[in-house]
Amino acid sequence: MPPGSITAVVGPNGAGKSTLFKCLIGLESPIQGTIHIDSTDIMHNPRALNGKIAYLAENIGVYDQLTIRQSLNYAASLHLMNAPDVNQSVQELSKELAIDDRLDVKLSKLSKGLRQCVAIAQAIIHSPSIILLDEPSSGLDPEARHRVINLFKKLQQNGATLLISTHLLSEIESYYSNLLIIKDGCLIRPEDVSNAQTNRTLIKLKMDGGQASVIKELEFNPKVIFQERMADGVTFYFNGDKEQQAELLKNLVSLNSTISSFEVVPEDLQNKYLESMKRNGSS
Amino acid sequence: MNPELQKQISSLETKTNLILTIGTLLGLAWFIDKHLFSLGLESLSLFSFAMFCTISGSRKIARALYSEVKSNVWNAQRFSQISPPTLLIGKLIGPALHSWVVGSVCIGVYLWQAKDKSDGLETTCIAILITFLCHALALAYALLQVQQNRIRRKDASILFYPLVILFVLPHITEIFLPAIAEIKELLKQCLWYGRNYNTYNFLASSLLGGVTFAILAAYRMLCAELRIKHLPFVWFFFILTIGVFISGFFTGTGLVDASRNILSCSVLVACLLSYFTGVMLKVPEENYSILKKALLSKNWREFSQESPLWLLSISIGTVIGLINTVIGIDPIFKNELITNLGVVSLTIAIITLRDLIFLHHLRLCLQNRASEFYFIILLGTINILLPSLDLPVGGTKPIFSDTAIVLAVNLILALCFFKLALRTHQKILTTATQQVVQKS
Repeated sequence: MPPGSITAVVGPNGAGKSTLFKCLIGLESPIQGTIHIDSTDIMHNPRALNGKIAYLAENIGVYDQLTIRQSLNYAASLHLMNAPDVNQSVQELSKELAIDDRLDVKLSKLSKGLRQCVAIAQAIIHSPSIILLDEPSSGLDPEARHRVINLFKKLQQNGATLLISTHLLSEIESYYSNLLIIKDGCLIRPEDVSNAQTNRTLIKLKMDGGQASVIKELEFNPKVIFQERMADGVTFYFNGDKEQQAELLKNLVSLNSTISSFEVVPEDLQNKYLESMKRNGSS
Repeated sequence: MNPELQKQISSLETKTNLILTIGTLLGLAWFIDKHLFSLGLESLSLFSFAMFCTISGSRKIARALYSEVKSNVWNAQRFSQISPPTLLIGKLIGPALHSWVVGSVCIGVYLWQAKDKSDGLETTCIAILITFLCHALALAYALLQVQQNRIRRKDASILFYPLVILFVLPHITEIFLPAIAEIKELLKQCLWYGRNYNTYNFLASSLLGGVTFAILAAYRMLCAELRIKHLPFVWFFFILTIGVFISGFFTGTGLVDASRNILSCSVLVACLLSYFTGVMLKVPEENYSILKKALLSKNWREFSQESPLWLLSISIGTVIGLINTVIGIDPIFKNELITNLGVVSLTIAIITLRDLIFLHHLRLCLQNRASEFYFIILLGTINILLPSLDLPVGGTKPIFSDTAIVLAVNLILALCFFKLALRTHQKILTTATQQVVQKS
């Protein structure tokens, strides 16, 4: 995982995302293999990177009897922070997550979303460089979600590496740089799928006539992978740049077919994920 | 201030609650003193201390940890930079702070009412030591439970434990059981290593030793939770200390006798602890992978750090048994008490090793109930067919009169079971790897 990146870890429930996170921070041991973070063998030195890594567990709990300020102070003291740094971090994070007006309110009196904000603040209060977040947006309203996304982006800009496990694919689409899909404990797409690097486009073609010749032409084209055939057209993946797309369209028009539309469908993360699942035998 | 203690204080019940409890207690003491003196305020206050501080405090310490685990905040502490001593002080004193305040009021009333002040002070010291012991044991037990609950294996059936004692353990119980009655008598006289001790001093020193080990146990459990690895010196000293303590009751002032008795007794303690931890505690499968890796790479440090308690105990028992064999070949039994066991102690250690390797082999390849069933049946049969030792105590008739032959037979059996366990573990790993490769 490159430093300063945001990696989305997605997969069905029970795929092993949370277990992977626990193995990464040394809270669980894998039966085989090794884990290295910043050249440190986590299995041999599980506490070596505690100060550098932040971990937000799924359904993280908070101390109901404590106020937000006491909770954040306690989280900071767990990471041996100095008092002046603690105060500054508490002020900054609470402002960032819009909980600064409730600092002296007990956590038992807060809503689920606000408690999740406190949990996020607790996890990252010690300014870590590697941040593992398991379902960070769970229970957050759209506004809070927006604030949290901005916080993640800010952390990334400051050089932190984020690994986020989530089911909300549409949400992370705007800021992830790598995607890892896990199913049954296995990485089903080992190569990183970068938003920027992909040269493949999904094209939806609609025709009013001459379909047979168009389909024949597409079948012979090695850059084309069919996705769906419909009565009035076809959807396919095309591996090529814009010039090659234009060349393809020119060829298809020259086949005496009536092409009513040639549309490049923006491929979203949801599609990528579902396609990966389909390839790997998911229902 | 200790952050853990500060957090625990902030999470404690309200101050009003505390003031009300103390007020009620003092009012009750005054009322009993004025109107119902025949009830005996002295014993009543001591009883209240036991209830409010010893029992309730221990419960609160264990409950505080369970609730942290249940509400998902425990992992944040495990994954922090806080030091184990800081956490230990916080977890040991924090949740029981309320109990200590109430308990000190009870003790105050007790001392005020005590007829003999010097006796009262002695009793107070003993009561406080017992309370510390209970609190430390409660924390150690709660930490152990938390670790055990994380391992995805069902607990053994309740029937399993008495059956183990009946069928598998007679070679140790035959030696220990007759000795218990005599040790009890000697404990009353406080005759230890041939010298008479003041009962109070002896009890207080023994309790102090117990408190030290209980706190060390809680500390080590906490270290394991925080993923800090240590060499198992504490466990080694614990076994040796128990050996020293027990053998003191049937040993005179002679140094040679004492050292031989201590070593013999330590082997028996190690074997008993090995059975206890091996049967009671679950060990995750990945632990054996790490052990195997350490063994193959001859990384003895890692091997001893990662060894489960049953393996550690029996390793210590075997090493002491070997020393015993070298320094005292002829076993001596006096008045049915354990003295110099000689080569017998090594044989007992090897039998224990044989049994526990077999149990763990079964646990690796079979489901819970099936592994327990086969363990009892097969080892019960082996122990009946091969009455293991030519001991002058106990009722079994030996097949082999020479202990060395018994030792050799059991060593061969232990090695066979070890080979089987290794093969089963390799099979598990190969299957897991194949599954992952196929899916990938």
